[in-house]
Amino acid sequence: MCDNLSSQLKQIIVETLNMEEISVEDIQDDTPLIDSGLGMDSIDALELVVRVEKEFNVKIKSSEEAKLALSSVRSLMDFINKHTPD
Amino acid sequence: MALEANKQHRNIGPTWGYRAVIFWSKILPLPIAKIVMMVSAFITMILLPKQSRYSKEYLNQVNIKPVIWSHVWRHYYSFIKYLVARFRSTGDSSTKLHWITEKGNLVEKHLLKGTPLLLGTFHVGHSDLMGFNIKIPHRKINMVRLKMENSAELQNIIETSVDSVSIIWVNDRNDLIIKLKDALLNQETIAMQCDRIEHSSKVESFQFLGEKREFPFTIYHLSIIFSRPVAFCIGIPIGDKSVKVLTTNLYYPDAETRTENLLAGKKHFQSVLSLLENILKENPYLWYNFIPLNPVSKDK
Repeated sequence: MCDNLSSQLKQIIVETLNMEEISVEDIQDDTPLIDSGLGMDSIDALELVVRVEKEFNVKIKSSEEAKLALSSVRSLMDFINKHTPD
Repeated sequence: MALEANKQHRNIGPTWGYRAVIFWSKILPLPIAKIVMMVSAFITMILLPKQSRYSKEYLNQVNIKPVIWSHVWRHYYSFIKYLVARFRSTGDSSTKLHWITEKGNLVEKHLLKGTPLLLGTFHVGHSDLMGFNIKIPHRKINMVRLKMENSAELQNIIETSVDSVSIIWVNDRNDLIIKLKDALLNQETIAMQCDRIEHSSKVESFQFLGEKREFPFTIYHLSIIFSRPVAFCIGIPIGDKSVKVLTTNLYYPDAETRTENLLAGKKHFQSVLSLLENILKENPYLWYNFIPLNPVSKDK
């Protein structure tokens, strides 16, 4: 489940960033998503949030949750696992 | 969570100067206020040599040659008149501005129909005041702004006099992401200024004032992500009490692929900037950026 979710998220990230030079294999679970890591900017992050909310039926409600969830793939996975409806 | 204001004294002058303008614009009748504005423009020109240099550079680009001190003074005076109009337009109703829009204006039509739009504008003329003028029942407009040290006054005006307008500050990235997402998913209209590139996520190059220059392109990315049309509005003051509103055609992100949509967006924004350039050539003192002109693109 975790590996599957991780791959799904990485695929979404690659599509969101629309960068040909980055592949799913290049992204580690602990790679920071924003700035120094994958270099996502606010609009990339916004697009990622919209896609994640739609595909996993979760809602990132506050800036504190966004800060936590968007720090890496692993933290995004943790957020989804914690907030996915049963 | 309280957002930290950007400490930089961007654009014109110190916060006390801004507060002084607010103070006397509230208490003086317009004819006397005008004399004070003229003197203030002169003092500002003397006290802010760096901004005066940027003003000269811009006026030179917009084809005023040679630029002399009286042109720079007129540039400041025009900006101070706008600041005063901003406070008067939201104060008592007798001093409110009269808005002249073309018949069948597409933007108004869409807003009245309830279509949520992405409204772009620039630090030009009275464009910023349109946010206060748009009063569509049950339709909220969110102005995206950078919070500065003097932003409390603007926030206060909006909170006390305009119920349908609120501000989304860009200072905190995570806050910006959540507020933009919520507003757009709630079918609200977003208004943003698209001329200053600092704090802009997406930047592209466009032909403007003789060079290929960098401009914010974020509004088109939002349009593509949320399938929202984009339109630009520019408010040109006519005398002291009227504003002529020019609107562009609408951009729809309705192509098959993201690449095609981005290309169409670039074409649209180039036509908007060409219109802006023509407006500035006719009204050079309406450009309210006393900072370096948008940087020339490295990849020409």
